[in-house]
Amino acid sequence: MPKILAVAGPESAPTVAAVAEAVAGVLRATVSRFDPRLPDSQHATAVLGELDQPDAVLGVVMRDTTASGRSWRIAGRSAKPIIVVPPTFAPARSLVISRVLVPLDGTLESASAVRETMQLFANADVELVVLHVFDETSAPRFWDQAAHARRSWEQEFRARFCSHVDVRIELRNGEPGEHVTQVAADEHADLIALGWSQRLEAGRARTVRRTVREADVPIMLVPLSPAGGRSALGDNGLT
Amino acid sequence: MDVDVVVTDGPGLSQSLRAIGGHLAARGVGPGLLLVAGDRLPALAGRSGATVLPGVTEPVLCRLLDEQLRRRTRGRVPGVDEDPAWTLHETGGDPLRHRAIEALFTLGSGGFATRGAAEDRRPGSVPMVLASGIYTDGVAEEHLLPGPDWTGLDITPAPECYRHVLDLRTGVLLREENTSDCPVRTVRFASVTRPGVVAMRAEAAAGRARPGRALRQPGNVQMIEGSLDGHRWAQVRGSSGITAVAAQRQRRDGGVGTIERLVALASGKHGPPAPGEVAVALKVAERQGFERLLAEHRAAWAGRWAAVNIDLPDDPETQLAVRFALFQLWCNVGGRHEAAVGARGLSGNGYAGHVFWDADVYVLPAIASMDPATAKAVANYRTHRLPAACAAARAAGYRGARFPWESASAGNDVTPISGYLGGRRVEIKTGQLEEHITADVAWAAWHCAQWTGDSGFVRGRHRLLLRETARYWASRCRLDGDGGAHIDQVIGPDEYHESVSDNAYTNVMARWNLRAAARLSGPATPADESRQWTELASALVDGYQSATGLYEQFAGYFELEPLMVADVTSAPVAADLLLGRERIAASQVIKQPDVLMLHHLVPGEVAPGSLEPNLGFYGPRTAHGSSLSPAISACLMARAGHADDALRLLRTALRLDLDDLTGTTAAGLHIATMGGVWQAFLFGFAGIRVRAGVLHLDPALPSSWPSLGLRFRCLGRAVALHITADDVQVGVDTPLRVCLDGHRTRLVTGVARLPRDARPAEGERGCLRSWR
Repeated sequence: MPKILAVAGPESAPTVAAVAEAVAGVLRATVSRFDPRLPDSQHATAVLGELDQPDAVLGVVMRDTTASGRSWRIAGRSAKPIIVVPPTFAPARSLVISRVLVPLDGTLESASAVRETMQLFANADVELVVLHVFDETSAPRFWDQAAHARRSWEQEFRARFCSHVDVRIELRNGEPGEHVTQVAADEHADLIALGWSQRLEAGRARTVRRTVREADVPIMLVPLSPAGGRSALGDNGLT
Repeated sequence: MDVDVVVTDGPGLSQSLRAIGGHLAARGVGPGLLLVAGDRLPALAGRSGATVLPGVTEPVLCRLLDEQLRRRTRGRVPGVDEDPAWTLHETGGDPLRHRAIEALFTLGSGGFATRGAAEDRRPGSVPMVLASGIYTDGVAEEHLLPGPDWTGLDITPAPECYRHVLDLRTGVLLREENTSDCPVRTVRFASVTRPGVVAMRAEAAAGRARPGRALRQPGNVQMIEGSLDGHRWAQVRGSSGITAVAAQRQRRDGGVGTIERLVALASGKHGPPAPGEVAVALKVAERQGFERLLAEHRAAWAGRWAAVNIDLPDDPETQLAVRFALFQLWCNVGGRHEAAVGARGLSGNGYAGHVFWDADVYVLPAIASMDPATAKAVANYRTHRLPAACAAARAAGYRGARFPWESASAGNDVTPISGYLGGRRVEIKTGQLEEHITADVAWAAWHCAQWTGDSGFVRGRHRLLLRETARYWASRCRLDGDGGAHIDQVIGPDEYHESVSDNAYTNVMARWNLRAAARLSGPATPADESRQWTELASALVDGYQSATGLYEQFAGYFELEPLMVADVTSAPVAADLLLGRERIAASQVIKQPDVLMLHHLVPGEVAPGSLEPNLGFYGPRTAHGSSLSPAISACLMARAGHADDALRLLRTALRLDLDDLTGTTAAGLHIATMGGVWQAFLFGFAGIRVRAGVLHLDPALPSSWPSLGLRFRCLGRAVALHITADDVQVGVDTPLRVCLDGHRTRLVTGVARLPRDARPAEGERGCLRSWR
């Protein structure tokens, strides 16, 4: 049976476990708690080793405060998705994942990363809200008539990037980073699912970084598989 | 191979071969469909583009002919001539293009069109059959009604790797599987000679492809169906309706199974026609048979291309893109009595199939040069809705006729009242304020008459249209205390600035409308009223500033922030979406030509020599955020003599759908852009104007084109131009008065070579002609 790794020390264990249980309910997985109690330098290696097990499908970790912290070390190197839980997150007594926000930047890469994730959530009757933000790089060159343009644009965006699952699309104009957390709050999303390239050098992953820093709900970071196209989650027998 | 050419040995063999090739080309049979076989063949055969089979003796020739006959009787899929100058190829390998390809490979004729969806349905696929002017019920959300889908087949397993080949020369779409010993192959066409008749053949390894239901439900549209005399029929119904009747049969050719499907489509304004009526056309088509239908269809396309075409051997990519534009104009614009041309033609459901000014100003002038009867049908769509326009004017408290910004079946305004600018919900004011459409409609009818030389066209109902639109403007204008006339609170073609007053485009088009109506006024118009129109026209302010040669786009425009597009990003860009509506409205950035549209449509109404300064001023401020913008801007640049810059801009228009630059080609082709492209060649690079029955030419070619050949219809003639830097060769089928470069008008009979003056350097042509 697929296994979700809840990585937490004693203080964060209840919160991380609650998130892991909620996701496990959607994915029909079991939760396995993991507390290596190792120094920082060895902690990530131990967690990644556990995640490498064939039955491990994703990990859940508490966000730490620095960019070089444990959660980033794990998420940046894991081949499996990692859910990063904000320290301020206070789960309801029986946390249920009923609505997930999926930001997509309009590239095949980001859509491919979360394709199986979207399919899994859709199969579990979780409502999916896809967010696309028009910024300087993604603003369309043409927007003929505001009365009609969105319908045509959205139909095509849905067909190309939403894996033919039933989603609601939210569009915003501006900086993606500023909108993801806001829309997640407005939509009362229980989880944000973000595809990412696991590259944290300067100028990269700005939206991911900002979302992880500012979001009030857990963020699932889904790495784009090196083989391209399929995400790690879909390669583990869940689809 | 489709056609065998058998020539006998002896003197004149090469000549015979050439003559037969020409004979077949006139019937749409290109060299790629020829097999030249014989025991001794001239070198010419090898250069003809045909497949050459030397050393073939008489018995072998007989076997080859037998093979051809067998293929026909077994219903095998014919090939297409894959001449790169005439064919578009798609491999289907790019998942982002799947749905765009369906729009790109639309086939249509006579007001019916079918998207090029693969026969085995893919996820997200949108097969669609649409008919001109056939909409769903109701005013709100009225959109084109999809008809019964006739292209579906059950293919198991479905082809994974395949290619599409659209042969523009013959209007045939081929689909062929890449990886199989016995590949799935399909071919389809929409008969040009029998509008509404469509045909398809398919072949695959026996048992792999099954015809299934010949007529399938279009999406979730309710469809009723039944049988009649062994044929299946199906109907969909809105305020109007579509009926399809189908015949299909299966055959075997060894291990290959074949399917042949013939379908007749018909539409009715007040409901779907009775199946029995439609079956008549199908029975005639059946009697004719697939092969003959295809032969006459190819010949009809050959006839079209003989009369309307571009010859640009030094720029084959542009040549192919222009041919594609012409092809899709033919496929998407049609109808006998009237032709409703939606923003995406009949190639998709985008823009709900609503009719905008695109039809009048962008499509009609192009169609008038291709098929004058259809251009008149486009104009008739408006004239038939004159009563609705009169009612709209009355409802708004004015006289005359006010045409709607968005129109569908009845001619009332179907513009939505809200929409989205990217993610931001916005109020839509175009339905209330974009009033220039009324003058655009009048202009289109007038242009149609001018271009076709059919002066009778603007008499009768069309004169009524000019009269009622003039009456609208007469009642719409506000007079100030100084005798000036104004039009307040409108939106011009630049839709970035709303609720503006004295928009130069609206005012000058209204002025033109008033003057044209006064000139054409008949006995039904009181002389006083006619004189009043003339006086009012002279009183309308137009924002022209003689010191600079500039027209102010609207009152107060020059006071706005002088923001250039290059200050922000590079064009084309949806600048309002990027920067926000308020920011853009406070700046001088515009969406598309506004003042400059006057130089395009009514050059006689603008100040002589004003094109160049206005092009220089408004060009850097134009974001080209409308797909209408690049082609007409290129046209104007060419007229001003900036042909190289024009070509650079035109490439955006040429590739708009082919490269899906909008990301929305899947929802349908940008038909107005295609009309704009052809206009850029006629009115821009060739510099054509028709005035008082004279064809005026003032060509300006980009430096990379040594020559440009154009064929088109004008003033009731078939005209062929071959333009070079030194001269223009004009060919006409009946005598025509022609004026080149503003010199003496001469009567051209047959073919004449007209020498040109030494050409001025680029950018120095602005003062040469009054319309610049």
